[in-house]
Amino acid sequence: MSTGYGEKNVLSDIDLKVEKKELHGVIGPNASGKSTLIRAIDRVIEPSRGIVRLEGKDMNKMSKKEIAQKVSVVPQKFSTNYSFSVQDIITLGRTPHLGPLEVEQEKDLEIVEEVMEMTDTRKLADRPFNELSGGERQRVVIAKALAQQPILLLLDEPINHLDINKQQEILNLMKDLTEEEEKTIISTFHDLNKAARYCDSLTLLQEGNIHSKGTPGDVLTEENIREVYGTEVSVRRRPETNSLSVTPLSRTFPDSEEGSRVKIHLICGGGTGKHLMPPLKRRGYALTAGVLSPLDDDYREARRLGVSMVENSSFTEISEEAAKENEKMAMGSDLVIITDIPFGNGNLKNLELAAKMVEEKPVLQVGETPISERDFTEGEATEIFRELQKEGLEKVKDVGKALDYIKNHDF
Amino acid sequence: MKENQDRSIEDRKSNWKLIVIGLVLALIFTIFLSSGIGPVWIPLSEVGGIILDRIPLLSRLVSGPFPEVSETIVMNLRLPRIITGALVGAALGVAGAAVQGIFRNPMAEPYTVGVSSGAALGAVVVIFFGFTIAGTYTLQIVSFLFALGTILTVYRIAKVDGKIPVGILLLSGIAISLFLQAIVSTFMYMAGEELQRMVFWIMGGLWGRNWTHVQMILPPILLGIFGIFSFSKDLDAMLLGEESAQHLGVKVERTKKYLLILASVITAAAVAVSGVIGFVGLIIPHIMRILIGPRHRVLFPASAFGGAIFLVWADNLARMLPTVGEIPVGIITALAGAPFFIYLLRKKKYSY
Repeated sequence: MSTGYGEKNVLSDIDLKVEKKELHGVIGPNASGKSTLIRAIDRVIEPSRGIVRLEGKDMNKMSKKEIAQKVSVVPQKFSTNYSFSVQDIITLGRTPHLGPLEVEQEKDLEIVEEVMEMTDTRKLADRPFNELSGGERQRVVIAKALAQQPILLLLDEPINHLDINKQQEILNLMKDLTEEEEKTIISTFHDLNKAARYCDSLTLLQEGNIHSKGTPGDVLTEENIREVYGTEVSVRRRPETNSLSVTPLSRTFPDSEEGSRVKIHLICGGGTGKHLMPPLKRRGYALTAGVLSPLDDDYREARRLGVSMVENSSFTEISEEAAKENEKMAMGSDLVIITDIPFGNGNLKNLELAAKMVEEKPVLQVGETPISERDFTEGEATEIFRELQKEGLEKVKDVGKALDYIKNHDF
Repeated sequence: MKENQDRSIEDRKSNWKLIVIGLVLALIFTIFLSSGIGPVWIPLSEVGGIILDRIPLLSRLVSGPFPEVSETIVMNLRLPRIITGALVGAALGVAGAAVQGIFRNPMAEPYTVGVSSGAALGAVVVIFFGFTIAGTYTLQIVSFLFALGTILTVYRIAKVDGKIPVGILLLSGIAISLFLQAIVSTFMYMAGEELQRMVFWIMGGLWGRNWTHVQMILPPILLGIFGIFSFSKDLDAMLLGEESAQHLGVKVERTKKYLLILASVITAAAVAVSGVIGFVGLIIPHIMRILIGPRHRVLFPASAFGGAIFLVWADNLARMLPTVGEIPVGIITALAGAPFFIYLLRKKKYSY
């Protein structure tokens, strides 16, 4: 199925199957098409291509009313300016089951009672909906959706803006609905941990396409999340809940096994350092970098990973100030890594720093491009490099070897 | 405050039946009493007899004959005027509730989409050129047609990809209204001695309405109100937002379209015979919502009866006030309605 708004295609080639009584989570970054998917399933917007089937029946051929009898939605935002009581709101859930002039019958009121029981909203029945707290409101909106007696319930970020206790309440309710009431639920989530813990299966959306789908274990891998969200995370199984836990890696790495607070300063540039940063971050080393300029790929990667760095404006020689700052960072580290950067007059200060540092601490070069091929300073860089080598520069071929070196080195 | 609100919802739940029955009785009482009030006071027993005498079955209860003068005053002068007023009030009340529901905007009223300006233009054109193509009732017929033409134009302008976004509808209604009002002003500026007739019509009045007027507006208004009533549940759902209504299986665009057409037809019928009577369509639905809540199944009938009662009493005042000639009832509705509305707004924390 594909769909979008007007000319703009938001979802393309979505191929998804959700089993009965499953709690299926849809995850993905902002604007990846999660809400659009929910709206397309409920046929609020029409698919531009393909079909949506409900119990094998083409939803294109169902009337709005028929759909509302089988599918109900808990939207992301639900509000009304009118002073409806909670019971009014929940009773409105019976709308699709009533004829144009029909009034709710005894049976409908029984269903309303039942869903109030299920969602623990009976005590709120006569309260004005507008005065409820966020968690209470969400329970009422779910009750309204349940009063439709759907076989499929769609929820759009049902736990947004709720405190942790209320989140739990709603999630447990959702779980109960699939297990005890035999409802099928499709819900979008922002919180990957909650999705991992409560959902039977997941779909990970990326820019309107399905990136991956399957069990939480299949979908929530460090690689998938890096690819879709562009963030380094660590995925671990939590023993107390036996569910996956996704932790974004930040500048300090309390959870990391190897990191053990070794500080590394990376001298790079021209895209030579970008492959080094993610694995170093992932292993939990405290990484700094410099001097980098904003148009550099390395700069962007450092930014993305939250690596603190020294910056210099593009196309100008490294300033005295930046060089000093860089030296300070390098001094604070246990190891300095330098990549095989091409050197010109603009970034020669980076090489000078490495030469200075090699007297203080280990300096490791990653990459084996000979200096002759990357000297654009008419010999000045080669001069300094020789000095550096003489003082004990270590060299490794690639990232893997570098990681081995660091791991086996005692700082 | 919170407890107050809770209680008001409780009250309203148990009270709505009483309130609706009360409104029906109040309307009947209003009609009888108003038939007696006037420069010549006719005792209620006589009024009751004269009216009941004409109702099959009930006529057995009373024994005529009644004084001929009284019969003439009640049957030919007062009663048609009162019935016209009641129908117009009911139409404006229900149309107001419907339009406020469609727009989900408390400031919306039956005239928002341009019906009144269109009708006014029709009336002013007829008066200015002295048209009598359709006989005595040319003015009513032309203003009705102009009103419908206006709403169709507004509807066309607001239509985007087969949908009517209410924001655009509201704005195009306002734009067209202003445009038509400018034309109306031009005619008035050039009108000369017909100016007073135009002003009087635009301000709205029920003076001299007869049974033909009643016959003209009774069918469209009653059918229109019933039609609107049949959308009660859909409109309730739409108060939760259009997308939420769709989740409940409501055909939102279709509902909006029919409700707009029906509300415009009954408003146009009302305006055609009474001129532009303001405030009824704005405040009656609000007052009723405060009393009985937002559910339209109750709100529509309540607004119909409430509007009828309010307008008949406003007209009684217009008839009775010792001024030079009769003042337009539209002035009374605004003078009485606005302060009462403000009082209600201040008295209760009111979320419409």
